[in-house]
Amino acid sequence: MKRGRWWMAVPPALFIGWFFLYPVGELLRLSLTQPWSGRLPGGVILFTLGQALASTVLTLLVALPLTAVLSNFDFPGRSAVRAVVTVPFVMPTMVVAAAFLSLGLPASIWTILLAHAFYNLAVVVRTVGTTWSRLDRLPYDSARVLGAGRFTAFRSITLPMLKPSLLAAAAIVFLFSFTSFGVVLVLGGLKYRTIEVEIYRLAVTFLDLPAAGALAIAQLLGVGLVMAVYARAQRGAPTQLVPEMSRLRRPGRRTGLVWAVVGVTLALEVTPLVALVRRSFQGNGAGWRFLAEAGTTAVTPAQAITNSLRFASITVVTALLLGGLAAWVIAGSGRRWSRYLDLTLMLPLGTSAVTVGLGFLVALDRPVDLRTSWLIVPIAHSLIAIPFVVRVTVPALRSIRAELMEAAAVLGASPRRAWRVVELPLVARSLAVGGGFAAAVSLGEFGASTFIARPATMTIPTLLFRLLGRPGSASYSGAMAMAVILMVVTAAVMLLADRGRVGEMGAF
Amino acid sequence: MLECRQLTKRFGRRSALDRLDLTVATGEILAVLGPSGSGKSTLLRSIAGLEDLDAGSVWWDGEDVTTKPVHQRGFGLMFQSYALFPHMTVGENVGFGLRMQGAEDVAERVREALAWVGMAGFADRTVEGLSGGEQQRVALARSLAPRPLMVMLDEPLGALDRMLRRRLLRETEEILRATSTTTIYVTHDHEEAGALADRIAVLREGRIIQTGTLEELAARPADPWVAEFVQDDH
Amino acid sequence: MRHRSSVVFCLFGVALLGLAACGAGDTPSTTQPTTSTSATVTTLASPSTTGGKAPVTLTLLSHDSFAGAVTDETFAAFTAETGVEVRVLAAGDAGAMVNQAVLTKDNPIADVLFGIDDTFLSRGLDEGIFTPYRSRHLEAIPDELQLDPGGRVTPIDYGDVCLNYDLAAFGAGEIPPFNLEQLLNPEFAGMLVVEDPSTSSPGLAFLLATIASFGEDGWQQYWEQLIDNGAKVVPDWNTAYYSEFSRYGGDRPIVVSYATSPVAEFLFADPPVEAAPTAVITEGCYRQIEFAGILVGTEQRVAAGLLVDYLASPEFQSTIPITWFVLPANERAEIPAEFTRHTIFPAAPLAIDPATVAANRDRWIREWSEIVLP
Repeated sequence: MKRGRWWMAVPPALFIGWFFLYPVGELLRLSLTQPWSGRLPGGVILFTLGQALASTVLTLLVALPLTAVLSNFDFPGRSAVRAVVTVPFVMPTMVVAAAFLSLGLPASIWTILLAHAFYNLAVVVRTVGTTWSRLDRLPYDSARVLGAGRFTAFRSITLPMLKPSLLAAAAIVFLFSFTSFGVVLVLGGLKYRTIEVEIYRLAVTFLDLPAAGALAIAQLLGVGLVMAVYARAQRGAPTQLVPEMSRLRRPGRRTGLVWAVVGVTLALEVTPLVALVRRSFQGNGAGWRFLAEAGTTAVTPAQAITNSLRFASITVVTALLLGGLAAWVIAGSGRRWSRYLDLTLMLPLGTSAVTVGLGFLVALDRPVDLRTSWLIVPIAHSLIAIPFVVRVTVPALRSIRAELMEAAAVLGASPRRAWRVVELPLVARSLAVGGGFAAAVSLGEFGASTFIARPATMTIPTLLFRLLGRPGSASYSGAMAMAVILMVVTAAVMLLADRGRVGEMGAF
Repeated sequence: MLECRQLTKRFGRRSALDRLDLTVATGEILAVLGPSGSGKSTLLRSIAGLEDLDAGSVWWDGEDVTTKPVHQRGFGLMFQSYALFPHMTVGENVGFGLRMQGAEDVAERVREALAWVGMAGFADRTVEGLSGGEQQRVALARSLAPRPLMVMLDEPLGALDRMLRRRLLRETEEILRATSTTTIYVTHDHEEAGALADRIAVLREGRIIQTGTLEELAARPADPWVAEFVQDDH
Repeated sequence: MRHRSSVVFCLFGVALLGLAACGAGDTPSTTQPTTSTSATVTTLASPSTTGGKAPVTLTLLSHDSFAGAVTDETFAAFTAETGVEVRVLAAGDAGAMVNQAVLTKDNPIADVLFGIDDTFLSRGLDEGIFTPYRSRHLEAIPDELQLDPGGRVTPIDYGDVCLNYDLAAFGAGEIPPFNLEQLLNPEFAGMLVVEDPSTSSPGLAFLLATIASFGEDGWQQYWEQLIDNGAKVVPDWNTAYYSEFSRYGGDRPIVVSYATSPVAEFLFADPPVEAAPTAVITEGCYRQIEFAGILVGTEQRVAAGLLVDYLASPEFQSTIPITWFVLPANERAEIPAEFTRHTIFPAAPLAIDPATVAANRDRWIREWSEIVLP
């Protein structure tokens, strides 16, 4: 169905062009024109690809049972489970890695994969889950009536309908695992190095930009390859979606199974978090006392929370606006350049934070010098958040039958009115999920925001790291308490996003 | 009065509408009869403005509306697939066109329209719980409620059982006559066409082969194919 | 419409290339160092240099450790004295900060850089990112800290990377190791955790300490033996200290940390303790010095000099220990009693001159990796 004017692509294209393509291009050009140091980084590429693939598979395997349960059954605490599952997503990798170690897990490749699954479960649950919970039951039920067993019906009916969102989730999980830094650094011992860790070492320890640049290009090529495969795999008719509540059933006979799945998966997600909570309360709440005392920290936790929420709101608005425009254009009938836009918007997910951060510094000094402006922080966050919004909104848009919009037009709705009154409410849930991701990305300070020179405004993660950076049990417990605060704020924002209603007539 | 002049629409190399001419008098109920693939839906969509014509023009009361945007034409269209808005209640669906018009007595007229199709009291129900027949009737009510200049019904009674169909056919005719609504009624059932319409137009491969009352068509078919088509063979 | 979409795509591509081309290769000369006034600047700090003009704001680039502890009070006295506001930028860790300064040297993002340490000093000086400035406080700073004869950077603070051990792990009669060679003894097998020099600053310092101790010919063998004796290597200080150190639940009672770590352990203990629970091994420490310098291309040469002076002044220097847990370079600064009471500072820490470090760091780290990694 034709939708969106071509001009809708301009703002997101300008954004990604000016704040990503240009800085990264500039940095790469600069690094490659410097004299070669002789260092040949190469061995890490295969390992990085391999662990990313393995992480993606493991994450999908671990996440799908819970996703299935959340998409098909309505049970008390369902929205709470959805919110809790997203909390790991924003936790700083150093903190999580430490929690894993404190649970007695050894530094090994399996722990790395497990940590990736821990983080990225939320991506699968929220992207695949949103689609799954809105699949029409009818085809599945008819298949069962025609004699197909449960698994066969799932495999031949449900799975193909889920394919687009499964691929989208897999792509995002892959990219995150591909560029994973903290987890690999801490939990990989010294044996395992990914491209991201190598780029960091080369750029920051050895100040060897040419080698880092070469690796960054290899990283981009790897990402480009994966995106090409992803784009090819995404062809096929869009899935028809129905209102969520029509699919959800009470567990009934399945209650035991439902709770078992929820319990086991939550155990994986929650145990490391519980370890953090317990540590924050060690010594009778030493950490909380530390935070409460004035003067022990440069800013109060309340100020850090406010700063984080401020950045997060800007990121959410930017991501929804630009991502929304892009999604509308991309969801229209497959114009080739819109597909290029789609893939380009995904690139930041697979690009080293070092590359993007340093790229900002070399590129963004003209016409306005943004290099050290506070704006840089939400811009860096938005680069990561926009592809999320696009990934969850496009399928929802594609699932709206053209006839619905035509019916609205025939009944007298101008295109803009039809958009506001029919189209927007139907994708409201996806937009809320996208907005939730954007908030999570910003709260957890993803992406390049750690490699730029920013005004010293403390956010929750930066205060956390400040406390973690010096010895002292109260200081450390204080850091754990900040981690708990981050968890609570994130969960609250997620619950809010799940209730989100956009558009005149309400949504699912 | 609706005038279609030389409507031409191609999909690839196939001609869905082939220099089609059609006239519908104001207040007339015209049935368009034809087999599947004859271009019935394309005809309705083209008149509504949902399809761009390759050639030809659409005129209403002497005004060329070919380039007028869909939402300004004032034609009603009931889709074969109903296309009910899933996120709205029955009442909100039926009242949609009225709200777009800015009507003041929306609730009253929604009630009226629902009564026409025998779905009084369904206003607050959600769409997804409805059976096929109920959905169809809601779709019909939705297209009639705004009292459009002309209404086009695409196989509006297909999903209903015989008794309901007969009843609804009578009631639909009553409403249409009472409001003097110009109507194009697409069907493949010649009995239905004969019972309801003032005139029937037979459509085949994008062209109107013949128009006339059912008796005229049966008595003087333009070719053997038409004869067979209008023959009572059950 | 295929034709139209490819035209649009080409236009976008051309636009982007155009933008990139504009940005490439030209160095804007928007900033001119005001060398004309430099002669008078080096002598006195003059209050209210701005008179009735608009307030001057200086940008100070530093790493997260420094910037994260900056409050409104940090530079309040400076602003009151000189009328100059200070805006602090946090740039990540020290290496990232130097990287950023080098990358932007043609159009600097700050006026003053603070936090470049001796291991990165050579690189910074070679890249020419600093413009010389001699603070009037230099006379109060010991000679051994003044690593740059060219006067391009001013020493501000120093710290020592030392082995720390957990007092609780060594009961009555058990003596902890007192120098690097002792770490090889079987009685201390499996007790040590160190950081990877390629990803950790204290890790690098410890490696340099072993190189300074055992020389080019001996350090590799030392490390082989150290690993044979069960030393564990982790990527960063955080993991070493908070995950592996026995004080925090790990099983390694000896860790590479800082000379001031026991003081922090005392001050930030909850419930409060009588004495620091950890102690320092004073042999085998490595000295780290941090410098501040005025960046080439600054438009506020005068004010920048004032800021460097302030950073080196006894007034500011006295706040350094308790805020950042390093020692002030200015001998006239006061060191709080807790510092001398709860730890021992090494009398003769090891050091290698910056130029040698810069020239050999890559090779050393590579050789180290080959020895240490399985």
